[in-house]
Amino acid sequence: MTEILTIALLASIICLDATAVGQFMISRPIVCATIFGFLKGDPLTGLWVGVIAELIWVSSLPMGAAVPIDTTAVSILTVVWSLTTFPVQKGTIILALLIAVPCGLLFTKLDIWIRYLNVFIMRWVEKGIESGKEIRIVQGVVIGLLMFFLKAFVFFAVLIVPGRNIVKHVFPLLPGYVVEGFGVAWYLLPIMGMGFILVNFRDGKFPCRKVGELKNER
Amino acid sequence: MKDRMTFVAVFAHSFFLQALWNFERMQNVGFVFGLMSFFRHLYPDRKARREAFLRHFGYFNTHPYLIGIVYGIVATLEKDMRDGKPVNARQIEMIRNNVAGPLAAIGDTFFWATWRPFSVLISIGITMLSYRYLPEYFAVFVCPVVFLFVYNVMHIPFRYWSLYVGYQLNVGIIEILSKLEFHYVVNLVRGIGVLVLGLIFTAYVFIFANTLTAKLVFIGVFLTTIFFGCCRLPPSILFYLVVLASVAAVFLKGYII
Repeated sequence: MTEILTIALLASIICLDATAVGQFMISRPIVCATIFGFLKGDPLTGLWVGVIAELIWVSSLPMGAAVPIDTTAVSILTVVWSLTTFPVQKGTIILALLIAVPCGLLFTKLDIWIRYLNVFIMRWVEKGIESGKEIRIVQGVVIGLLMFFLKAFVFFAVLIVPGRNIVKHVFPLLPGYVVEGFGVAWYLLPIMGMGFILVNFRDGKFPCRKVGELKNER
Repeated sequence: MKDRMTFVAVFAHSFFLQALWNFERMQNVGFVFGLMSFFRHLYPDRKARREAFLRHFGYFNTHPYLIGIVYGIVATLEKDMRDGKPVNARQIEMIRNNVAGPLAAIGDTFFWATWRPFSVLISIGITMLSYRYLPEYFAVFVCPVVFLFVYNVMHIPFRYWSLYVGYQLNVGIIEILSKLEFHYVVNLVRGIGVLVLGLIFTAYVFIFANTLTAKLVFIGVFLTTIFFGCCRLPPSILFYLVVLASVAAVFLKGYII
């Protein structure tokens, strides 16, 4: 229990970097997955997961009001689930990643709800300023940070155990060809990520880009 | 912001711009939080300060790294207004909102879509090189350390500089930014990024693909990703497709052979 709470605490602090404070990029998968890999005794696996997540979702940008998939949650959950069940198994890591991606989308949904909830806090701050209590601005910022922190803490504290149990019980049931296929995917996913980076860098300069434009027009 | 402590306070507070990000007025609370020290210094009278806070409590959204420019401009204009120069509250609000949008676009294009992937590529490239010279245990940490260094060596000084220049030049900074030809910088960084990506891809194929078939599969996956990426297929869906295709390929290989 202490281990889970410690992981959730550290993960929640790291998650604050994504939106609420600083954006020093400590929350990027390439950094946080390596940190959690190190804490679980296998930094190399952590780094590999981080590189996969970083490259694949690098083009998902938080532009304007858009909230992209949370790659921090995806990479941390993948590393924790895989390294606490069957370490050094490529198949386990890919299985954990397969389960972690929908969890990353769930985290994004929670983030959106928190941002709607923040509207009420913002109005409370506004009323405070109107009545001369400018300290409400500081209180609002602190509450906002707490909301982002609690969201991440609850998310990790709730999901670590069930996710780990799923990986632990499902992986031994997988047929040999599935595990072998996961091993192949382990090497192909970084290639896929490199493809996405190239698309991101040369956007609009590929002939096949027109297919995407036609699709968007429809 | 001649007072150094005020400048440092605004700079430090600017890191909390998105602490109370909300869907109605986005970064408004973070924005006034950043200017708290400055307003306390500028308006010792509580009533005037309250008006200043409420004036800036409307909708506001920009890129968090370029907030320094907006703070600089707003601080200068507020000071001018207090000193009786021909600036009114409405003009300040209008300039603030008109500057925020273009700055957000610049920040998104440069920092999110260019500098971050570029830093990732540089860090991966250096890590691959360091594996030849460093013990594996240390080489692993090269990647996150280099990434954080390359990214933040641009990010943090830029934030500081933008606040300083924004305050010194006021709206003149907009003219400088428009003349900076940002797209040339973006294209240059992306061009170098593509070159590094090419080197990483080649090294990766030679390290991990031992047979000609494996090399062709790697190249095939790369080209397929480019095609689907151009077609705007979400990365998450393509991720599942690649895993599924890998499993299917192994299954069919066993079935055929």
